[in-house]
Amino acid sequence: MTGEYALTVGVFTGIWVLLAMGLNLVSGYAGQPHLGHAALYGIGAYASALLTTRSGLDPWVAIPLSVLLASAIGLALSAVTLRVRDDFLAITTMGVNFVVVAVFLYVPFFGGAYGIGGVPPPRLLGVAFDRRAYFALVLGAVVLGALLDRWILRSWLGAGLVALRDDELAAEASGVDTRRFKVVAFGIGSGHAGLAGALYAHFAGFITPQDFGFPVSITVLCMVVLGGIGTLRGAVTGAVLLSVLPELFRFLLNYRMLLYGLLLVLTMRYQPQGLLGEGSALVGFLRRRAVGRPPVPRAEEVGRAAP
Amino acid sequence: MSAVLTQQVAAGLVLGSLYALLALGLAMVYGVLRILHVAHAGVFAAGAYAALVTAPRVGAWGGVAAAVGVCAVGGLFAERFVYRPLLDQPPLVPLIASIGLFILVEDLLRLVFGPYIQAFPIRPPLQGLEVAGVRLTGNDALILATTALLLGGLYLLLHRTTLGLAWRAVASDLEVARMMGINTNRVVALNLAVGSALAGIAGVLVALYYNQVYPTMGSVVGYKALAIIVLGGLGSVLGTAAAGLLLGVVESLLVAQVGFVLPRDAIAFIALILVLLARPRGLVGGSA
Amino acid sequence: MHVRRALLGVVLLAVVLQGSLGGYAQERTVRIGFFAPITGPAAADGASARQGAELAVNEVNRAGGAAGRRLELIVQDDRLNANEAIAVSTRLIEQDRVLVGVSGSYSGPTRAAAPVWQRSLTPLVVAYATHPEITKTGNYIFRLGVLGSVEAAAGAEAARKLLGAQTVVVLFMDNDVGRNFSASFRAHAERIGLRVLASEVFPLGERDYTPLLLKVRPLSPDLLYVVAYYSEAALIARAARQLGVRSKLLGMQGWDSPKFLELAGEAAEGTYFTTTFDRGSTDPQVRRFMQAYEQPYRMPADIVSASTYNAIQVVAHVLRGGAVSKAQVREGLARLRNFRGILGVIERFTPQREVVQPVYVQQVRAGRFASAGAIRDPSVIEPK
Repeated sequence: MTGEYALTVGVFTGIWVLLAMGLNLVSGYAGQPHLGHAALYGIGAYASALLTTRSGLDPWVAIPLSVLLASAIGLALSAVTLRVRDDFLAITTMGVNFVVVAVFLYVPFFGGAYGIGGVPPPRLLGVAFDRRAYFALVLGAVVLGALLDRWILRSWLGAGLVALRDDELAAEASGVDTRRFKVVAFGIGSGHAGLAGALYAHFAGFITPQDFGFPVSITVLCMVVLGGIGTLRGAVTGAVLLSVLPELFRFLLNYRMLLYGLLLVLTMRYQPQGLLGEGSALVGFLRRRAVGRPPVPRAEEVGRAAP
Repeated sequence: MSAVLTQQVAAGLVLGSLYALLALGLAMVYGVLRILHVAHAGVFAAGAYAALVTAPRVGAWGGVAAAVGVCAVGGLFAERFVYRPLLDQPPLVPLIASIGLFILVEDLLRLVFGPYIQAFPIRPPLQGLEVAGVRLTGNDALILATTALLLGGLYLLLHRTTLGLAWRAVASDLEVARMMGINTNRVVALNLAVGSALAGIAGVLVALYYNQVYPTMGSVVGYKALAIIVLGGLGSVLGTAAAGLLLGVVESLLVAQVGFVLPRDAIAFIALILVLLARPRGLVGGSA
Repeated sequence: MHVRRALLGVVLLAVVLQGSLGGYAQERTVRIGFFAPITGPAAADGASARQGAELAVNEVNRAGGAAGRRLELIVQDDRLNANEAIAVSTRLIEQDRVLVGVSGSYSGPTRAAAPVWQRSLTPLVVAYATHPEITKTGNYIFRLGVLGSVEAAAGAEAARKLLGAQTVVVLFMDNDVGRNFSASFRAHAERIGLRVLASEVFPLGERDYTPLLLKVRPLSPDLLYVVAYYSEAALIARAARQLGVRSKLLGMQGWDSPKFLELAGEAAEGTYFTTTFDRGSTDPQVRRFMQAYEQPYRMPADIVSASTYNAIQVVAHVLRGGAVSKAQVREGLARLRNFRGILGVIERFTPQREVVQPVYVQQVRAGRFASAGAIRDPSVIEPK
């Protein structure tokens, strides 16, 4: 993979990683099945696109604003759907995805089917970002996001989320305010999605409603689950795998989707915790390698070891 | 009611019947396995293709039998090799597996039959008729009649046979049912088989109605079916059928009166969101 | 040990030789980058697009190449996704080192990818995508398909002057193509005194047109102008027939596919549509193309395959003119004059790199597409 092409793939991969990290917070930790992540992705993208093309804001201002907007909407969404549980929630979030895309498509303010074009790249010292710079930007965002997530997961919020995931009833019985945790997780996760969306908009320069449809939500969910749900490393790995592999396997042209489906089924069947999830074969293998094999006691040592 | 309105309601009922037939299988699987069987949409498409391929050789009924057969086998396969081993896993796992299966089936259909839309060669056995001032084509009548028969049959099965009793027991609580001596594996397998067979019939009817068979035909209705089973109370056969029919009518009326302000799918989901906010357990909350 | 080293040496030698031979072949081979939705929701059109392009490349090579140089078509799949179109375009330009690109894809992916081609100063020939913004990306982007606004205006002309309609109802699909066509149709209709009684939009992928047609039937328009792809068009035609709608039906190139005939069945009979692919053309080139396509691919050609075939032929023509570098190919395209392709004679490209060529009207007669006139009036077909 050469220069510009690698950078392009790198940028898109970084965006997928951001999306996966965000979804991981919601589904992996708070345990809420979320099939509408792409809606928040789209909200971030459209917000930044509109703020820069219609209101003339600088991308450096528009992007953070879009993140805040996406977080806020995520918070509101979660608060409203609190009563809805589990499988109902999954389909409700799916519904939200469809409705949001429909709004982008039908409400003229959002450019309708034509989408929004001419979204400007960010500039530094008057020079527009080229691919190299953009890759650095996305990488920076990913690192920041990862640091943020690790900090969260190590904090009281993280403890609460893990308790929530492992056993919601027990958590509630122990006095954990599950509702608040769910909502906050949703909000932060949505912020990740919003950032990914804004970054996408300024990179591609052109967005349409179809870019944020339900299939995208499914893809991100697959990335998170494949990599190892409930782990940061799983989300990142899953995202990298499922965005880079299709590029490497372009020569398979016709059979990519078939293999993709097969990969999902087989992984769920034999490694349901994900490739890098807790207790997976790969993790076990890596851990054993890192620790080193237990030393085989030599004859003299055995003798000496006797108490 | 004016003639035009009646016509629109009738059209809505026909559409709703198709929705109901497809969603029923989904509801049945959820009822016993608590799994969102996304791959059901793939089974549906496979059924249509099975009929497409066999009907020219063995006639219309042969085609239907092929569809039912292929789908039942497909459902059994999914249950045995994908879902059963994953019953203890958190719900996201079988969901992703189901999605993978769906993608797999869709792409297989594309690779084997080509991506092109194909016409469906079967002629409807019924003639057009007029009932109470409403014009129904042969296809319309066939769909309504088939759905009514199948719904009736399903109801009888569920409430008048021991299998149905076992079914409802398993749906209520798998563990308890097993402890009571019910062969849960067999019941679940049969459940999947019947549900998938229904999808196969739905596939044939949809192909007949629109004269189109193509690999991604499952996606189009599949998402909506998920909304329908939630509206129907997730697992309730009666609720699902009612929700499907109602949605068909509401969509048709809305489109006819107001126009396409939003795509049909969005209508289904808006209805879903509104209903769930008001009644978090669905229209017919609980199982049946 | 020695055997292994010897083998390694042989392998290395082979690679080096291949590389240099490849380099030599590079000068005698022209790489054309091609992207289309090979898999995904538009796989059918992707297949048509690819087949049309491949047929053209094979034909040119069999005839000795373009100015003695072999054409190599490098096909990539964009799955109808904007971001994949960007990625594959970058790959084609940078990794596969193509001299020129052809888009066999829809408007969305093409529009997203266009800046990539422009920035790298690699010419891109757009076979059939209709979004107006595509060519505005820059002077390396050329569009071969007739602009949506032009075809729609031609449709209005045809409705009024060829089909004698006084009143029309417009039905259009809800995407950029639909909105573009319906707006342009209405604008031109107004200019020539054709009355548009109503405009109704329907969502992409809609299956049930009964409510929609029940709504417009009472208006009794002379003609229904239907902006839709062939599967929806077929459903509309069938529903219209079933509901006894008497209006003439006029579509656009979205209808242009043998699938329309298959899916609409008897309801297709007597319907019209505008397109750039004239089945009834007397040009032997067109007949040869139709036969050559149907043989290996076992289905008749449609506008998509005809468009990509045409695109490759245009590129080959420019190469025959002596163009070697990317800039020269661009120049060759800009200076193209009166090129006789299978979609008619391309007079030239406008300064905005839009094509100027006639729009044909086809009618379905006895289950086939037949000529029903052409719109050549420069004031209509000249893109504005």
